[in-house]
Amino acid sequence: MSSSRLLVSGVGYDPAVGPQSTGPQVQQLATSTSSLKRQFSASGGAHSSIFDKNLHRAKHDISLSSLCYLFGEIVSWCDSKSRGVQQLESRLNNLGYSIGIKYLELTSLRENFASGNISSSSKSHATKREVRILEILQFINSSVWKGLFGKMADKLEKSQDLANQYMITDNLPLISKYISVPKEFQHLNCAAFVAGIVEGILDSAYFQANVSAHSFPEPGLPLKTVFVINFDDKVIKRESMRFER
Amino acid sequence: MAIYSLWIFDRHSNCIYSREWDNKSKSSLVNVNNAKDTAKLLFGTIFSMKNISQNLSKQNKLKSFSTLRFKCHFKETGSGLKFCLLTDPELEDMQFLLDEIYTSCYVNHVVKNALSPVDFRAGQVIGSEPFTSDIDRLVVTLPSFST
Amino acid sequence: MSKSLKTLSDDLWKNRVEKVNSELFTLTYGSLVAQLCRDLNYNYAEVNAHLEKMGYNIGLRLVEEFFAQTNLGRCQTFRETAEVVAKVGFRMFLNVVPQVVGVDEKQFSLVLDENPLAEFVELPDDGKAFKELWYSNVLVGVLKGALEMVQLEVNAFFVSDVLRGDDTTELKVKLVQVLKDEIPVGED
Repeated sequence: MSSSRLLVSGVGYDPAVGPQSTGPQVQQLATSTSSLKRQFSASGGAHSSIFDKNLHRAKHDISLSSLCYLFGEIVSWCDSKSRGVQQLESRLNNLGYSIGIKYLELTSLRENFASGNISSSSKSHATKREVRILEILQFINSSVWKGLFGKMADKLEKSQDLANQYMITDNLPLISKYISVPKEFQHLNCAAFVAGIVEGILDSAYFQANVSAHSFPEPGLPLKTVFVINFDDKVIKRESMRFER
Repeated sequence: MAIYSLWIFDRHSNCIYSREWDNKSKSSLVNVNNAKDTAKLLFGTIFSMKNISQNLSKQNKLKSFSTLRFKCHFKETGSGLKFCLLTDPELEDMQFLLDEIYTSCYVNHVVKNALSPVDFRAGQVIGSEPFTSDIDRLVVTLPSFST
Repeated sequence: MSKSLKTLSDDLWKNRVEKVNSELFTLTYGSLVAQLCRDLNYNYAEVNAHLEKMGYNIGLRLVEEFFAQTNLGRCQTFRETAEVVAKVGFRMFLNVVPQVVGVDEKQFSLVLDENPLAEFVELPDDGKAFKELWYSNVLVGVLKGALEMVQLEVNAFFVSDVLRGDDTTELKVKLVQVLKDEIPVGED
């Protein structure tokens, strides 16, 4: 599957031959390494690659129920593959994790665009990458929560007891709105997924941490969930070395 | 007590939920009589009434029927779910209540709840407590409930 | 008839559907497909089957909400079914309205101009995915499950998918049989 094969098969529009149908040649394209080459599809540009699409498109809404049904099925499927609550939670956490790593890039990019930092002319004053713990947590509290759930998280706190522990509180997590408290497990199913997203974001921003979700139902707030973030020791050390003199 | 009981049958003709409201008895009357004859007879009656209505006139839908002692309000969804509310014969149309029970109780606590089945096997019932408490809340707050 | 369906679905979307940004949905689905591929060792036929099964379970539920919100009854013809599925069903849940083509009493096709499941998705470059994976196969299951609840046994499958390099994303639905309503034991 090396690029030399491409040269041999003569990819690209050949004026001598003219437009060609999507035949075996395109299949060979598919086995090549770079998908950008698909732009030169012989069938006359009908398939624009996803790199052409605009990331900053108008918001597309979808029914909350669809998300809930999909998520419900995911929980059932994870449950069928897991033995016990711990495994179920870690599976959900993993699913969320892969979303988290992508989401950081996406949101940061959009933030820049929104504040007009990226312009076609000269240099772009890209928003600085967050290096302080509090900053990244505030970023998650506001931008990330807003982007995913349409609202900001309700509280951000630092633990009194442990230096590396912080808490983000969400009084009404969107996904868990309809999943009733099961008697067999604790009500941690959905939240473990969101915890995974947070963990993915933190890890890819170089703030290695462990994130877990716990429910703290209160009268009037039966679904209140607290995400407990335990930063790795080296993160805390780095923070104190850099910022505390 | 103008509203006596609620019965839900699924498309497999099984009674998947029953709730009886009785002032005198203190015990909870949820899913107690699902397999008893009453439920079966009720279903049979409704089934026959539906057949007659269809035979007499196409596009006919059963809404309610009454006897000397009770009135049965009926709702059938496109998915084959049947709701029956037994009330005092003097009570006016309760379709709105059945619609509300379907939309806010059934959909929210059974359909959207990933841990509750939607295709009930024989003998399975809706055991969700929030479901029952929501229904109670809807019914008990009606003015026609305690007359 | 079409006009009233459109007004119904517009009204539903505006007033009775709780909305959320589709990104989380797209990302979640993507994460699911990726995990399934890993778990099933990139056996795409099995991934397709799994997605369909999950969609089936979703369809059984989704149809109840559909009836609860729309208050529509059962359709009289398969043609009507196609219209309702496309104009009301898809609109209500995915906020897209696929085109209905090739309708007759036994089958119809839905052509999706937008597919929120597959926004910004690229199939893996391993040579097999393009030929074997139907990324949005969950929709096939949803249609099968939902229509079974109204006593229509159907066969649904993707005919083409832009993710595979085709021009359009087309889903075909074929009627197998109309199921009889179950009657209680003892009756005739």
